[in-house]
Amino acid sequence: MTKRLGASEQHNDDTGPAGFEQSSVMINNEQYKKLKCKVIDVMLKTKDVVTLSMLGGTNLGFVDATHRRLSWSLLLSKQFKRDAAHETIAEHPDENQVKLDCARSFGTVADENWRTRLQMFQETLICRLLRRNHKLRYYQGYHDIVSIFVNVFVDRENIDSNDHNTLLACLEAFTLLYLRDFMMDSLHFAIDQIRLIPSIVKLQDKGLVDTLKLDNLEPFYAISSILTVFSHNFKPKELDNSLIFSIFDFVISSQSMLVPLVMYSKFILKNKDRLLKETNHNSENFLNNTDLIHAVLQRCLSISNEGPDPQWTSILNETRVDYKSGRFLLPKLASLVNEYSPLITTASHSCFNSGPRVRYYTETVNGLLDKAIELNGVRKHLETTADVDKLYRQHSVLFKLFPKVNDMPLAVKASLVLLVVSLIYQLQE
Amino acid sequence: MSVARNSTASGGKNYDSIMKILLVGDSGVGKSCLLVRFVEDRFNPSFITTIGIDFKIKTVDINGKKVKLQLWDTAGQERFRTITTAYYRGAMGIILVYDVTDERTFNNIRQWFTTVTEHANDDAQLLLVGNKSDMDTRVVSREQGETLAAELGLPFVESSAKDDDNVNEIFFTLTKLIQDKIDANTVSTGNGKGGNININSSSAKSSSKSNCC
Repeated sequence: MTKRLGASEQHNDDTGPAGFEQSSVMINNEQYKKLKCKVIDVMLKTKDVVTLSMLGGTNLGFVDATHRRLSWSLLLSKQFKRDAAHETIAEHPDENQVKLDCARSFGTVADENWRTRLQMFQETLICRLLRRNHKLRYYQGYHDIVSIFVNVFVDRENIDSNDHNTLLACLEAFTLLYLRDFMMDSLHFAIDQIRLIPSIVKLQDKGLVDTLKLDNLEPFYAISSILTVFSHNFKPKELDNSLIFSIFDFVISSQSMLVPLVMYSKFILKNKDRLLKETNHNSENFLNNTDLIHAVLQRCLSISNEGPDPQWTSILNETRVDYKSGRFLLPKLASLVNEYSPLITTASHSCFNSGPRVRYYTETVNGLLDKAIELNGVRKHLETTADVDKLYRQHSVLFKLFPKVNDMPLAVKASLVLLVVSLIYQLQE
Repeated sequence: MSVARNSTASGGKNYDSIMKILLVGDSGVGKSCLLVRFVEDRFNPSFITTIGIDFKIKTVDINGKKVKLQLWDTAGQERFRTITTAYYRGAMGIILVYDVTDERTFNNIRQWFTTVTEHANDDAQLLLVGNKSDMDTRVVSREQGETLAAELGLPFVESSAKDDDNVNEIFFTLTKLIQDKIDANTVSTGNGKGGNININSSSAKSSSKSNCC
């Protein structure tokens, strides 16, 4: 296939390279890959993280496993610096669940022997990571994300090597910077994240949200896609070209967990006509709107087993374009997600030029994690969005007024909460 | 009770009524395998984990009537209960599954029973299933399963998704019990006349599959 270098990024992965230079030279797919690999090699050698992260957000991302593992490693090491790891042999309470899920991983690998080895490798890797980070809780779906990292970093030649420290470091950085909200002992912060989806859709098509009543139902239909950054939906079938690797290239390059939420919102918007038609056609087949919308969206999400999915390729490309040009349309996150969320701290970029990239250190991330765990203890007892909004507003105000609040005795904290609540109440009055 | 919906003439529907059925139970007991065996007649031991909730459809032929089963498969990990219980509403049948080779999953059935009775409609028909009956490593006997089922007042089936043993019976037994309730209900919508269900595998195998909602 012939490609035009420098063509618009709106081209999909099959029709254009979404240029990293301005030119109108026509090249074929293989030439494009070779050229892009050469450019990536230069950026890796010069440690040009800015250009490298720009390349990760263009067509085919980091192209192949070799370039992908080097690029992820460089980018993630620039995003997170870990202190000397505290390895522990103490078993993590979720290891049994890890075992159950890993035994069902790599279902698309045809060679049974190789699949079993990958499953065992994956289980050991996840348990090692959890033992190093005992405060994190494992959730079903995390293993899907880990399987993507294993696919990129592990092959038949190196699986028996004793040195998988680069893989572990990358996975640890991704987990701690991007996935903290999901690794609490409940899914409430994850639910807060998926609740952003109808809000994002509403900013672009209020009529669609009103017609489908998306405002009035929990967007649980999106939970598997968001918890797994689509790795539950798109199982890699071909190592280098699978869409899921390009999605991870983009998420890591942009250092943004907003990307999956924007992509899912675009998926709803893109399927507007079909959604309206099928919900109308099937409305009397379902007892409630939750069931109806879930069933119809699951049907729209069904992935073709034959080749790249043109719908999702297009969604990814449009999201890249929006990110590059600063056109992510987002609601105000402050009262919708917790203030320690990756969405507004460690994986929060909403456009390519949204300020300098920050390198996070263990102490900072552990601090965010501790505070998030504490807040989750309150959050998980709240049901309505109004209650959650109130909690996050109060908490935000409390911390702005008293930044050292976490070091205070419980009685003082409780008094401050009451003070802030009464202040907010009076302001509202 | 929640009654099976009658189809209407509009929309060109290919069924006479609809029933919503849920599968619950601990992670790894084989809920998805049972469902895939029933709907697609295949078995894959490394079947993917259910994250959140999945939806499948199967239309079965019951006494000359086509009943469309809406089958909702749920994640087993405890933290997903916040999400999965939102789908209990309107379920007419709920299948509680444990693994006969894992005593912990059997012991947790009481907790599942409590969750179901808290969130499901009062008149939802429940059914207890001990799956993986083909395994040599069984630790929960059939008698233990029957005793627990009797104590909770539930019908009981042991099954093997792997050997395709009793899988159709699970769904057809449940469907029949739901239909019987509908028939006994004076406010029945009338869709369940002649509720004798032909519970045999040939009926199940020949039942139509639908990609439609």
